[in-house]
Amino acid sequence: MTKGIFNNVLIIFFMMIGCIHSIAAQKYVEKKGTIIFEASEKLFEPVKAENKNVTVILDLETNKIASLALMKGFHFKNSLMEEHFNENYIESETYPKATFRGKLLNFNSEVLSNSPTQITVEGKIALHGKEKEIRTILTMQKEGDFIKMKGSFTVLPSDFNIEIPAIVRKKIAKEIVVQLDFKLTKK
Amino acid sequence: MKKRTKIVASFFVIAIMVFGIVFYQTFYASHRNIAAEKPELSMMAKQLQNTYAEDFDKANASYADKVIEVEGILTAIEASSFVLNDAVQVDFLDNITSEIKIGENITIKGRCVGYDDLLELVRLDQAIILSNK
Repeated sequence: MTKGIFNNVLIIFFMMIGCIHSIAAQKYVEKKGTIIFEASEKLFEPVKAENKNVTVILDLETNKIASLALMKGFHFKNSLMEEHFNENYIESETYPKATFRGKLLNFNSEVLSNSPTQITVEGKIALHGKEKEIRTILTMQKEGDFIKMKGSFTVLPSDFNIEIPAIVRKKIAKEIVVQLDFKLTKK
Repeated sequence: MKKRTKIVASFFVIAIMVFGIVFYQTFYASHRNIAAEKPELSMMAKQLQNTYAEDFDKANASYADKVIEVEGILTAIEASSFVLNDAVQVDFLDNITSEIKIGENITIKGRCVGYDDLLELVRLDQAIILSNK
């Protein structure tokens, strides 16, 4: 009998912890975000790839944001280009992922509304065994239980120790434009 | 036209055609068709995740880019993906139309993309459903 009451109290206790936990940790998660990068030169075949399975986690308590893209998840129109990307440039066997860890600056979730708001984000991109500090502007928007995030920035292959052989240098742009499009769901 | 000229001409035409085909197949080869490939390995969802969590490099060397058959219990259904045993995220090319429910046992095959250590999920893409019991 007493054991039954004790169990009930225990259950209520854990349910309370669960409630507190869900209030405190306002997390937004995306598993199918899109990242497109392009380094095309005019008159040559487009050098462009897309990854539609990017993970993003945003913690509204700390304003910290983390993202991860698996290199083998980038798809090119040309399969040979995809093979070269994996084997010769990004070396995805050794460096299987790209990550971003950073923070939204001067951010408060209350500034978000249905209309797009510009938010500065600062952090580090880790890729191909190298890290690079980056600061860019995201366009954010809140729709019900979703937070949408869009942005674009440029990086250089040399930022990440990626060497472009002389023979293809004319066909690949010096600057790589990276575009992102995320829709995070409240968890 | 002389017979010899004809032979030489047709030889050149054939040579150019062969070169063209080889060139095209090398530079514009079609992408892998995961759906048509036979799975190289077969395992349980949890087992796949454990192997990655224990020794990332070893797991990546043996699973990445391979077509794997995975069995598990469906724990989440999203627009175009399934989660098996909260361990493996399976992404399909198209939106899901099958009427499989959460809690059901399912076998799929897909290409192993790698391990997402933020969410602690192994990711498979271009998946197809093999069976559900």
